[in-house]
Amino acid sequence: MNVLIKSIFREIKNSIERYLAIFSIIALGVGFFAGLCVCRPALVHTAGKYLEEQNFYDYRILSSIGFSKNNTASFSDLENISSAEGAHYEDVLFTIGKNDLTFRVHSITDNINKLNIISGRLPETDSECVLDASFFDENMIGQTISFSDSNKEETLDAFHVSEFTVVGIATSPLYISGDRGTTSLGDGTITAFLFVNESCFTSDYYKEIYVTLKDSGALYSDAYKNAVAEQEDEVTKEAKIQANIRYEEIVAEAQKEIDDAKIKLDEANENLQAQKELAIQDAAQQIPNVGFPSLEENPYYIEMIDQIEASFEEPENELAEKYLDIEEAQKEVDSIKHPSVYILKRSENTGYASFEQDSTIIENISVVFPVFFFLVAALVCGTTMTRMVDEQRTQIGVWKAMGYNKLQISRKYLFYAGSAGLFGGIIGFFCGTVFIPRIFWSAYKTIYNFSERLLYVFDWKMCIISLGVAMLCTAVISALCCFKELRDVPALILRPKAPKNGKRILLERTRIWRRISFLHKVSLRNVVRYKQRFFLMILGISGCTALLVTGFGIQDSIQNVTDYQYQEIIQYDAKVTFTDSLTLEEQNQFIEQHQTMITDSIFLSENNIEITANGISKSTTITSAKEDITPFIHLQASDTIISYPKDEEIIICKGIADKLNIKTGNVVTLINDAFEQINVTVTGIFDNYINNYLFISENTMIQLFNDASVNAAYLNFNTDITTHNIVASILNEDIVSHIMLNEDIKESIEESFSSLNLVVLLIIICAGVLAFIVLFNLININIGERIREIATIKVLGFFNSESSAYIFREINMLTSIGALLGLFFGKLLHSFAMSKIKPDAMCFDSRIAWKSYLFSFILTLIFAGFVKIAMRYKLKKISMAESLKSVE
Amino acid sequence: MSEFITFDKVGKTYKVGEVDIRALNNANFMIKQGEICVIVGASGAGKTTILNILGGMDTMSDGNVWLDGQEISTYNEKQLTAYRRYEIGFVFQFYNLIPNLTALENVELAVQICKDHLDPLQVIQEVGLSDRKDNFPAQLSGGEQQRVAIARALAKKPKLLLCDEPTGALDYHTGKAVLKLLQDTCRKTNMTIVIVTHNSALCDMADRVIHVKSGTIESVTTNPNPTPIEQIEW
Ligand SMILES: Nc1ncnc2c1ncn2[C@@H]1O[C@H](COP(=O)(O)OP(=O)(O)O)[C@@H](O)[C@H]1O
Ligand SMILES: [Mg+2]
Repeated sequence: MNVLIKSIFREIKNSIERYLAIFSIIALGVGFFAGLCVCRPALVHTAGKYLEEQNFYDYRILSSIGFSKNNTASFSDLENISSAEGAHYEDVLFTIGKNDLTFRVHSITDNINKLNIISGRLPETDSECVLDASFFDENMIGQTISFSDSNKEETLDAFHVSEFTVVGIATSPLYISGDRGTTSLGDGTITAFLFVNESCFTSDYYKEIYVTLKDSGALYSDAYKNAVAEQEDEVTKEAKIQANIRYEEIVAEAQKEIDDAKIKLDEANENLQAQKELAIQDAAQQIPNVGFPSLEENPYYIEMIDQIEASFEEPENELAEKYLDIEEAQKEVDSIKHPSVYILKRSENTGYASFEQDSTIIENISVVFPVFFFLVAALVCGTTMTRMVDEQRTQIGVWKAMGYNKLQISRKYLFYAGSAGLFGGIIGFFCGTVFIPRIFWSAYKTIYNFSERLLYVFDWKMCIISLGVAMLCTAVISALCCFKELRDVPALILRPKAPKNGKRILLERTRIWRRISFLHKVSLRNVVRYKQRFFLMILGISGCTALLVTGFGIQDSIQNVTDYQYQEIIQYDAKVTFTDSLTLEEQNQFIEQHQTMITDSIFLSENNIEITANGISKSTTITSAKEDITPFIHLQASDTIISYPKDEEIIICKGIADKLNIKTGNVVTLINDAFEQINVTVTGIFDNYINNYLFISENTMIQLFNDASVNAAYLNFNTDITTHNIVASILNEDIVSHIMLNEDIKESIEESFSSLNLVVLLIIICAGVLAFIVLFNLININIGERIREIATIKVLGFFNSESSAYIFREINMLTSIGALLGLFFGKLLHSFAMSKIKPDAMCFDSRIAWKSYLFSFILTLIFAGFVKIAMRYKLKKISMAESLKSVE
Repeated sequence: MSEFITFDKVGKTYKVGEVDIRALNNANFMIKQGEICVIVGASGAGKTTILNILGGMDTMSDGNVWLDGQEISTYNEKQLTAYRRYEIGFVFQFYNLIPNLTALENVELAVQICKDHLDPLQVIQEVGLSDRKDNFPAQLSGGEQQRVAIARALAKKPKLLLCDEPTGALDYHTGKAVLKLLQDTCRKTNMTIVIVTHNSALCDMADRVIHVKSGTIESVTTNPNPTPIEQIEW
C-alpha cells in the first residue's frame, strides 16, 4: 500500500505535465458544465430571496374606478391568500435643477413590496420621501425636491404637500430592472420612483391593491405559476366584488347628493307654491267682491292674480331649470359605467418578466458546450494513459510475471488518472459554480438592482453528476487502456512493443508524393499513424475553432438583429393602442390633432387569438389592415415580397412559423377568445426577428370576431420634433391607452444582449484553454514518444529551428485540418446554439460573417502558436545522449 | 601524415545533483587522417564520453580538441550543430532510424541538409540493400538496419565517422559483416573512422587502439598491420 502510494506520487512528480493535462481538462469541462448549469439557479435564487424578503406581491389588482379604502382585508379571507394592501400612485413632475422630471410617487405599503433602504431611512412625516437608488445616490439625502409649476391641478390636488425632503434612497421589488415605464406627463418617460407615506395622498380610495399568496413556490417555477393560476379566479371574483362596492359607494354618494338636492328643491318649490297660494288668498281677501257674479270674474282680481303669477314666474322657471339639472345628473349617475377590473400578476411586472427571460438565455446554452468538453477530456485522458501504459510495458510485464492480477496492476493507473479527475472535478466544480455565475452577474448587475452579490447555490445532484462524469472520463477510460494492454501474456509484455510500423498512405500512390520533401513525408505519415491522437487533435482543434466561430457568430447574429428589424423590416416609429374602438370620425380627429407630429399612419384592428397547427398552439396578436401596410412593415422572405393576404388567407412571421412547424400552403386554425375557430391558408412566411406578427384581411377578421373596428395604429413621426414630446402629447389623449416606441424596444433588447457578449468572451477563453490543453498534451506525448528520433536528428545536425519544424510540422497540418473542419462544425454548433438561446417572441438571424470565420481560424493558429513556443524550449532541452539509450 | 584529431588534456565532469562525476580526466591522444581507430574499455570507462565530445554532441569541461586544424572546443552550440551536420557521420548502437521513413528515405533525410553529399540510392546499393530500399525499419533485421544507419552516415560524406558500439545489438555474423563494411569503406574512401567497443578482439582490425579505463587513457597503441575483419574471431 505504502509502496504503491509512494510510486504513484513519484509517478505524478515525474510526469507532472501529463497529470496536469488530465487535471485541467477535467477541471475545465466540469467547471464549464457545473458553472453554466448553476447560473440560472443562482440568479433565480438570489432574485427569489430578495423578492421574498421584500414580500413582493403575487397579484396586483386594478379597477377602472379604484377600490374602497375600507375592506381590502376581505382578500385575506380567501383561501391561500396571506395579505392584501391598498396603495396610491401618481405621476408627478418635479423640478430638479432646471429640468422637470417625471417621478412616479407611490404610497409606502406596510408589508407588501417592502422597500430595501440602501442608505438613510424611511419617511417619518408627510414631508419626507425615499428616492430611487438606481438613479440617485446618497448625496440626494437631505435635499428637498418640489413639485413643478407645470403640474396639472388634479395632480396638485392629489397631495396634501407639494415638496418632499429626501431622507433615504432605496430599491423596490416593483422595479428590479432599470425600466421605469412611461407616462402621459412631461417627455413621456418616468425618470425614477419615489415613495412617500400614504397620508400624503388626498384620495379617499385606492388605485391598486397588492395581494400576496401564503404558499406559492420558488420563483419562476411551475409550482408558482400553478399556485397563482389556482387562486386567480377567486381573486378576480373578490376584486369584482370590491370594485362593485366602490361602484355602489360612488353611485350611492352621487344619488344621495341628487336626492338631497331634489329634496331641497322640492322644499323650495313647496315654499314657493305656498307663498303663491298665500299671495292669491291675500289678493282674494283684499279685493271686495262687488258687482261681479264671482271673484274670478272680477277684473281687478284677475289683474292681481296675473301680477302675482308674473312675479312668481322667474323663481318658478329657475326651479324648473334646477329640476332639469337634477334630471340630467340622475341620468349621469344612472350611466356610471360598471367597473372593469384587471388582475395583473408578477409576470406583468417589467423587471420580473425581463429577468426571467434573461436568465433563461444562459440556461439554454449550458447544455451544448459541456458535452463537447467532456468528450475531449475523455480523449485526452485516453491518449495520455495509453502512452503511459505503453511506456511502462516492461514494468507491467514484471508485475504480471510476479503474479499480480489485472486489477492490482492497473490500480496505479486508475489511481493516477482517477485522482487527477477527482481533483480536477472538485476544483473545476467549485471554481465553475463560484465564478461563472459571478461573471454573468457582473453583467446583469448593471441592469438589475436587487443585489450586489450573487448567492452561491450548491447543488448536490450536479456535484455528483460532475464528479461521476469526471471519473468516467479518467478512471474508466484508463482502466480500458490498461486492460487492453494486460490481455497479453507476460512474455509478450516484457518484450518491447514492436515499433508501430511505418505505413504508406494513400497519397503515396499519387504523383504529388514525389514532390514532397522527406520532412513532410514523415509528418504526413505520422498524421495518419496514430488514429486516437489524430481524432483528439482534430476534435480538440476543430472544437476550439468551432467554439470561436460560435462565439463570434452569436455576436454577429445578435448584434445586427435589432438593426435588421428596425431598419429593414419595421418602418413605423410607434404603435398606439386605443382604449376603445375608434369611429372614422375619431380617427380623423386624432390625425388632425397631431398633424404636425405624425407624418403617416395606418389604422388597424388587433385581437388576441390562438393559432394552432401541427398540434402546437400559441397565443398571440393578430392584425388586419384596411390599407396597404407595406410602407409600415416590409413583408419579405429573403428577397421575395410577400403580398398581403386575401380573404381566408394568413401570412405569419418566421418566428411563429418555426415554432409551429408551418410551411407556406399549410392550413392553420385560428381560435378567438370565445373559442370559435376558423381555418385559413398560409400564403406567406415573412422575415421578422423581434415580436410576433400575423396578418389577415379585414373580412377574415370580421369572420372571426364579427368585428374589425380600429383599435390600434402604426405611426410615423415627424423627425423634427423630439419623439418623447410626441409621445407625451399622444398619451395625453383619453382615447389612447398605450404607446409602444420601437426605439425603446430596440434599446432594451440591445441592453439585454450585452450579457451575451460576456458569454461570447467566456466561450473564446474556453476555446483558448481547450486548444492549449489539447495541443500541449499531444505535443507532450509526441515529444515523449519521439525523444530518440528527435535526439537522432539533432545528432544528424538539424538546427533547433529545423528540429522543431520537423516535430511541429504535423502539428501544423493537424491544426490546419482541425481548424478548417472547425469552421464547418462551428456553423453547425452555431445554428444549434442559436436555436437554443432563442427567447420567446424573438427570432435571430442565424448568420456568421466571413470575418468571424477568418478570425476564428487565425485565432486558433495563434493559440497553437503559443503552445509551440512553450514546447520549443522543451525540444531544445532534449539531450542528444538520449539517442544512445537502448529501446525500452 | 599530420594529426587529424587531437585531444589535449580533455576532461569531463558530469554534475548529478550535488555530486560531481569525473567521467573523463586528462585525456591526450591523436588520430591520423584515414585511420581506423578503436576505443576500447570496460563499460562505464568513458568511451562514449570521448565519442560525444569528438562528435560535438557534448561539450568538454576542460582541455582542447582539434579536428582537421579546427579547434572545436571553442565552438558554440550553433557551430557545433553545423559541425555535426557537415563533418560528422554517426552510427548508433541501436541504429536510430526514423521508423516512419523507408530505408532510402532515412538516407535521404540526412543528405537533405548537406551541401555536398553522395547519391542516396548509390549508397544504399553500396551497403547491399538495393532490394530493401523501400522497406520501413520495422521490416528490416538488425544488421540491415545498421547498414541503413551506416549508409545514412556515409552519404553525408563526413570527414569523420563515429560508431558507438555498432555491433552491440547484433549477432556475431551480422556484426562482423557490419564491421567489414566499415573497414572496407575506410580503405576505399580514406575516411577516418572511430569505433567504440568493449570487445577487445576488435583491436586487431584498427590502425590505432585507445585503451580507456575509469575515465583515463591507459594507453594508445598503433597497429602497423591491421587484420582484415574476416580473419578476426571472438
Ligand atoms: N549524462 C551523464 N550524467 C552523469 N553521469 C554520466 C553521464 N553520462 C555518463 N556518465 C558517467 O560517466 C561515466 C562514463 O560513461 P560512458 O562514457 O557512457 O561509459 P562507456 O561508454 O565507456 O560505457 C560513467 O560512470 C557514467 O556513469
Ligand atoms: Mg557507452
